Amino acid sequence: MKGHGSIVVAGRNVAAGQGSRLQSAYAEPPFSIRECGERVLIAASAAAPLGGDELSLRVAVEAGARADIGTVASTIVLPGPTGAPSTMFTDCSVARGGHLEWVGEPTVSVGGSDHTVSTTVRLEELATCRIVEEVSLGRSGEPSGTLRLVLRVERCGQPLVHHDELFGPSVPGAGSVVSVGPARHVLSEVVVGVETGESRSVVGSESRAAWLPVADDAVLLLAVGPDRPAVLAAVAEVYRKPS
Amino acid sequence: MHAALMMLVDGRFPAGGHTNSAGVEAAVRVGDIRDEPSLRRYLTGRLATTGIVDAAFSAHTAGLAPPFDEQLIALGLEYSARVPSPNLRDVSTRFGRQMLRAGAQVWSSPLLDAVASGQPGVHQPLILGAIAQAAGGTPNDAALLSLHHLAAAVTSAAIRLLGLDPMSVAAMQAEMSEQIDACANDADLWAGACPADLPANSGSLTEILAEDHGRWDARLFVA
Repeated sequence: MKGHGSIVVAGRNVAAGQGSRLQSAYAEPPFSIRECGERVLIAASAAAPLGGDELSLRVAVEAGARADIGTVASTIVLPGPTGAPSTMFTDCSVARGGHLEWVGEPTVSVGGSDHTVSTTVRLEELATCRIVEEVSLGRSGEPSGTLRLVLRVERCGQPLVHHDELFGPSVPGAGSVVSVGPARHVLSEVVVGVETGESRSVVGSESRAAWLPVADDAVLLLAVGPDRPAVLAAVAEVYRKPS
Repeated sequence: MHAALMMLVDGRFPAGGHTNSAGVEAAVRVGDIRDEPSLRRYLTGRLATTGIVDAAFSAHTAGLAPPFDEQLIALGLEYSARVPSPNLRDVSTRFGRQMLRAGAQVWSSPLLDAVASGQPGVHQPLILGAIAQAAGGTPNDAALLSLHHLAAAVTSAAIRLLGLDPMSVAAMQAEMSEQIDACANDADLWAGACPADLPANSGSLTEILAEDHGRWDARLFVA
């Protein structure tokens, strides 16, 4: 399946601070796009991604607007009939003074699948964002497939974060701390437009997380652990911890 | 390979490499590296992640032609974006400074001059690439030097921290030569690539543990 979606969020009356609206949405299967209160939610209208799928999404946040985008459900990545890999490319641009909040439900990599999720966020001057990605490596008690997560955030044409990570039982060094060790759940969060303070880290026996400032007002938070509750607890601890 | 480049391979070259464990000290603490098989697994993963990134930035720098200043700034920003841990970024510029101090006394070239006179805080892989070029090396030489430095840092740190048998660790490193050589296969591609397209292979725990390691009260290695 080849599917494309597009979301454009504009400010109502930016000068008067009257909030934002979904200006346009376009969705081919497997995407369907719904306004849900203040949020824009992406729901899957078909089982995807399956091996061989090529999916893409374009998000544009216009000047001064605030977009709060999420997914309705977790994304289950399944192998296809031919063993071909699947891809999901998301391209986001946030114009001057805009904000993009992107908090998706976890992506679950099912054994035998081979999937790439690549997200690019381009921020103009004074634009901010919060991008949260979560990954479950395999269904309960099962090995994961191969999953590649690429995240690149640029501000005014300059790179802030470029992180390209490969997960799965057959990646080089799988199981070691070069990868994610024995962890089964991984979270990454980029926040631009926050007072970062000093870095912080939480290294427990099972869950590990760190708050890693990449600029005075931008941070990458990384967390890994055995399951979602443990990872979310580590994230909360990093947020609470004084720097 | 010629004598000038061999100086860069030699661990006795005063560039401070012996204080870098490339994450091994933290990995030993959390029980991830215990013996030779787990050391091999760690090195395999490290070569494919930070190893590839550092090699790519060294190769690209070794292939630079003038004018240098803007290219060096762009490369520095791209490299920083690939190293989210502030501690690791700081360590990289510190090792870079040390290597530049040694290298700039031994060699000179327009690129090395541009690195030395430009903005401070240049990352180590860029310095290595500039020195490799000044010593007559190709992008492939620079990438191999970078990968060899990583393998040497990982294995020698593990020998010191775990008391592994140096000869058998050397044999393991030799067995991995083909894999190390293969990591540098793309050196010419990297030399010609746009900096934004250079590899960004990374590991979440590499960054988390490195940041934590920087806060230890007592440690044998800088990183």
